[in-house]
Amino acid sequence: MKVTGYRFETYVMKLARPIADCNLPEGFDLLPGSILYIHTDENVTGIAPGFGGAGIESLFHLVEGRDPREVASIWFTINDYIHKLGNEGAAHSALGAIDIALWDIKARLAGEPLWRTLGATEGRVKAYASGLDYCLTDDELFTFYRRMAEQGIDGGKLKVGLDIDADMRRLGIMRDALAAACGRPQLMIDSNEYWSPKQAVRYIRRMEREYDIAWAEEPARRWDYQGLRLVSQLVSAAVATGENLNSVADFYPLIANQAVDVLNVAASHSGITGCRQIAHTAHAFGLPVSMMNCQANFMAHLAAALPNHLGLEVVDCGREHCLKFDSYIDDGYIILGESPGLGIEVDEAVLKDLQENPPTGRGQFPFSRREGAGRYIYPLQPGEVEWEHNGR
Amino acid sequence: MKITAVRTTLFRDGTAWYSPAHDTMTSPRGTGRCLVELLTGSALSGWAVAPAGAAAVVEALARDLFVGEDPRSAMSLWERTGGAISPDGDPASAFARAALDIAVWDLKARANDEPLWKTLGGTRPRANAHLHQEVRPPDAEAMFDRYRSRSAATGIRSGSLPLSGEPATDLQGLASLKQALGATVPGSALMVHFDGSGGPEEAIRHLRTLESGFDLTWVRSPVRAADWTGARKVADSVAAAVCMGFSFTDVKAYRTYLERYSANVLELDVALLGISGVVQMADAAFGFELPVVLSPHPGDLGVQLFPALPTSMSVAIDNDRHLDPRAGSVIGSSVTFEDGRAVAGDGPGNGLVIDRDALQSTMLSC
Repeated sequence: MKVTGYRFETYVMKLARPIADCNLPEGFDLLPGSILYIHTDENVTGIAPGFGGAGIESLFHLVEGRDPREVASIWFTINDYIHKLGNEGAAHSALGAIDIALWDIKARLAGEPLWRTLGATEGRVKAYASGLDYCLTDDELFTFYRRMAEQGIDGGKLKVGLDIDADMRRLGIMRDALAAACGRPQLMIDSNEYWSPKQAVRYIRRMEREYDIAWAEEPARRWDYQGLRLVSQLVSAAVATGENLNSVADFYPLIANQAVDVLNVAASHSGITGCRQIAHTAHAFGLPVSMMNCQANFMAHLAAALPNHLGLEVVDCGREHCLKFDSYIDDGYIILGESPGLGIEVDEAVLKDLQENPPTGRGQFPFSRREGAGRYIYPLQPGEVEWEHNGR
Repeated sequence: MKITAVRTTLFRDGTAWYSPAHDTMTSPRGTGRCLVELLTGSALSGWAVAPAGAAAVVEALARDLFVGEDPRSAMSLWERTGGAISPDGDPASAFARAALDIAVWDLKARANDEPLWKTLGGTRPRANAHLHQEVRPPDAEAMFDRYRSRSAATGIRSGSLPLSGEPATDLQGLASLKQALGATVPGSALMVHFDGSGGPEEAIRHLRTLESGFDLTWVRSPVRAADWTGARKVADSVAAAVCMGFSFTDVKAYRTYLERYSANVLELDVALLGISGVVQMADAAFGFELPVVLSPHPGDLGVQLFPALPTSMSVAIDNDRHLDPRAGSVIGSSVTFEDGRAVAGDGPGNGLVIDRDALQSTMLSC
């Protein structure tokens, strides 16, 4: 059993609805996508969906000819190879995608879903709703979270950061919508590193006068362990962070300095192997992790096997155009099927159509950090959002 | 695939296997062991070995938590047993939990018809290894003879010396060990281990004396397991790395060592942490850039894990096998040695080799 080749496809997709945070309040509905395919001599192909994989051509020689079932060792090989310039940029992106595709192969070869390969008892993972909703009107906000609640989801995460009065109102809207699932829904907020630590403390404390906030996500910069710890000490909410870090090495100062209460982990943390390393490190410290959103919620396979997983972020913004997947949400949980591997197959005809007829739409990912970030709040400007705020 | 039953067989083995917890576990059975077999209703079964004193807990845990489960769910079953028992301070529970985990992983690998190292995602191990003898025997010369003969047979040039606590004796012992191993070639390493009962000041004085004559790679258990402050003091006072983790029964036991940077090397004992716990803790060690060493285990099970752990440093190979000439070795190993490296076999499962004839002749009645 050997890896023999790869194929890397990119495309642009149009989301079913726009998504946004406070750095780009008007949001966007075009998102780049990619699929890395890794082929073997036994006609089994693994895939890695997402928007990683660029740079594969410079690392593939480390994978070619290797047994894909030896995925952990291959991860170490690549991680060692890139040690000089670091697990960054295109190398980071390729490492993660390669790792995911190899795990897919490993599970397919065993004829079992990846959650079972990873040692989970059941393919069932608690979900929470995340609208990436800064651009949604109040009505759209309610509609989204009510739809999630009708699937049994009893927690939600609101994008906040620029207007405390509007954020308070919208927290209430999210809570009321989720109340259909649970009398006391779990409320989270996410300011996407827009605040300074002290801004975060003032802002969150005002929210906590009225709401019980389970966690505040990225209330300060990702590497600012002192600032994050300060926020954690001065508010009741847990501090969650990590989605923009690359590997367990980046989490080390946060964990060692008690700067984080919930670790946001993701496929972008150097694949399944890298993500699991972070979760296990957190587990050794008694810290929980929460899996970030991804296409077809495929990281639920790993989440199911983690001893300290809280909930997986479900965005449900319609980005599975060319992916057929074996999972669904029921009673607040992501239910993974018995299809081998990730349980994802690519609809090649749809992919080809997306490539040949790229959609048009609003904005593009990635986008810049908003003016004033970490220093002052640059208020919402006319036309940025369609909901009521202090600038309007 | 489902686990249908567990079978435990008690026997006496000549293989040395020490830990403080283990000593209390085996009394009054001496070198009593328990072969744990998880059955599936098909030809597949998964194996592990534990101290005899863990047998009753193995059976109870298996009956309550494993029978009817799919063995491929190894990580979740590990967590489930952790929730059902209290491994802290209860060696029987810790050994039993780990043995069941080892047997489950064995089944998982056999179901895939692959060696455990591949199931764990590793390449075929060529593990860095060192010779280890837990307790210093009265006849030290015989011990050094064993080091010499094992080193010659395996090519291993690194080893750890059980300390007597007497400076002159231990300086002489290190000289003898170095000579026995031929530990003068690049890559060879000399280590020492205490019995884990002393205080930091005593350890620092002793180690500084030893370091005046020898370059020590690490020192294991210079203080009691719970004395992370003392371990940090030793680590800050001597050149050798401080290795802690001997007899730790749960992942949580390492937390303070990580928080306080009190150990430079972590020892992981698969007999107490299971495969799942070792994988978890090794990932955490990687998060803190700490190397890990794997404790001796019957059948050299640690070799199977070596390539799948991010910061594997060395596997301890027992220098003291076949202590009891009256007892055959029931548990063999598929590990071979090439140029001092421990090389795992490529047969399915965890590589433990059970000698059924020896088992029959050494079986203990319950």
